[in-house]
Amino acid sequence: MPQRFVALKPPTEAVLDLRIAAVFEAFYRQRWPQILDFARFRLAGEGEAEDAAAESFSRAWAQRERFDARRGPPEAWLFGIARHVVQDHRRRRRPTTPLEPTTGAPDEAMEALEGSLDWTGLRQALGQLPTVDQEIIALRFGAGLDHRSIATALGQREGNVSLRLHRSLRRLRQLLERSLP
Amino acid sequence: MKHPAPKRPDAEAFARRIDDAIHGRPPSAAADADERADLLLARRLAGLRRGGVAPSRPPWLDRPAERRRLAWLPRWPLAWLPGLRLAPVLLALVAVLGLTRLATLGRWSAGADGKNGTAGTDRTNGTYRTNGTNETEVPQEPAATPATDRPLTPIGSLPAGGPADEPALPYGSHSSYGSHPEASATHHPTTHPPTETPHHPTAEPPTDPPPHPTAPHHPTAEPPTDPPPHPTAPHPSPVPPLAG
Repeated sequence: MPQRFVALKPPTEAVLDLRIAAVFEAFYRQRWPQILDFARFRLAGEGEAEDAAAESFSRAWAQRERFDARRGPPEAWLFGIARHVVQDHRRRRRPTTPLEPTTGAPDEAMEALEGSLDWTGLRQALGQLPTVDQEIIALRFGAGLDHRSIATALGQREGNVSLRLHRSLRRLRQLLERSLP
Repeated sequence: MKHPAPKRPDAEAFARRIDDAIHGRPPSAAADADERADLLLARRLAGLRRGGVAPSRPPWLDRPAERRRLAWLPRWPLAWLPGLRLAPVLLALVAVLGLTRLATLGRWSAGADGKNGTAGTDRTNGTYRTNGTNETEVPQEPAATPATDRPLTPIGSLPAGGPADEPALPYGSHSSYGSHPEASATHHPTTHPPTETPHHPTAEPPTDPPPHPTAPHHPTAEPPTDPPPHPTAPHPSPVPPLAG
């Protein structure tokens, strides 16, 4: 029985675009919740967070040719873009008023924190941290990235990310304890 | 006074405890109160995640450039072939240019041979024609009216100092403003012998045979000979013979 050979031709640019578009759309559906939660940690309203998430994917698609797999995983590249989008949104909105510092026992404050942590208080407390610490907390607890991916997205070393996360958590806890009645 | 250096946490151990806290596992017994509080906060922060479902329409398709480039691709399966994107535009352009060219050629060919083109297709109605340069010619009068179309004037009635102020030519000579009708008709008046002229008032014998009708129209033919004189009524020729 004669064998049949199929000539494999290199795909055209349009076909490659279609394939890349299909892969990117799957990537978009998989990473959308993480990007949205990251934006929720950093921005005020739900609508603003959704806008920032959508703009992050739009910019990522427009800059898809700049992605280099040797420099890190695609999610780190995507969150690097989302960082800049969120910063642009924060520049456009009005500045927030910082919380009045409060005093109280740590144990009592933490007990109250169990049932009173909400987005408003968290954002106000986060606003008093340095920008890099805000991004680290948002990437770690909002987007759920591990320390290595956070280090890649921020362009820092992994040990530095762990240290800053440890300090920023403590600082944030103190701020939240002071904000509780 | 020298301040003590801040305690540097073990990166791997701290990341593991954070993961435990996020996933709801209890902190290790080695953690102090402050670290327990931190891990509790980490668990609360992770509990704030709400996630969400991505919109069905990807946001980058809302960009105008991407909408033009990608949005229509799945709807037209052949459109990914290179070169076909502009095919409808090129086809329409070629069609318009071709029809325009055909229409122009039709008008040129109608006017080039001096006719008005094919009947029913030429809309110029004979009033003008093109000269191949897309300019219409102004209808012109005929260059010269044939002599036969002009009113005849008797030789003797020419006014003195006529329109052309020409002297009266002898009979039979070529004149531009009229002479003998036959001479004008044949345009070769000198080939006719003067004896054949029917305009002689008195020399017309009733029995003379009529001249050959084709004779004046064949200038190359031999001039007809004189008819034989009638045996019973010979009459002298009224015109004296030409000298020489």
